[in-house]
Amino acid sequence: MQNRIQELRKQRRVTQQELADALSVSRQTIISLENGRYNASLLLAHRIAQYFETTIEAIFIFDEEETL
Amino acid sequence: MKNYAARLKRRNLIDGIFAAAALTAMVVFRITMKEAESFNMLQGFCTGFAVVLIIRIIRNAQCLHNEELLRKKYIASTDERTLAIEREVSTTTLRISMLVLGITTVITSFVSESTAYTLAAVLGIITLLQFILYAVYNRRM
Repeated sequence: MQNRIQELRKQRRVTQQELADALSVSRQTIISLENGRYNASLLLAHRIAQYFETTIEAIFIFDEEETL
Repeated sequence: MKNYAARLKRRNLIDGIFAAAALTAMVVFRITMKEAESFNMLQGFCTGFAVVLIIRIIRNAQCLHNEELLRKKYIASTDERTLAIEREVSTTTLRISMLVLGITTVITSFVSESTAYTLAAVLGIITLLQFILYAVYNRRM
């Protein structure tokens, strides 16, 4: 699963710490999400989408090969 | 966050009760078991238990009086990546422990039958517990 969190965050000139504070998660979680090492839960994905005022599908790119 | 603060207050109250119980037990042991061999061990256990709880109470109380500390503690205890890591660690630890217990049981059976039976019983209890908990969470989720 790929995501556009880093891209959206940089567009809005938000630091990782600011984003982490807004989402009530640790900065390490944001780093792992941006690097693709950790996949957000549905709840966190929803919060991220709300923060960036967009949809979950616009942020998280589902890779169909992962299910094969 | 208000719910978390209330939870911390409740936890502090419970910790306080247990700490008081441990300190009371220590006094009771001191009065009743002066000459007993197990006195030192029991006293050590009660003291350690009480100290750990008191430290936790102080830390929680500091967080309850400081909004920033409370927020940090809240994030540390609810961060989903940290919780996912903890779940993964628990699962892996259990699997490795059971594997080691199984191997040790087989090896020990050549040396001491009673020890092998004890280890097998421990392995059996863990497996049984796993089945029970699986059934419980299967119903909950």
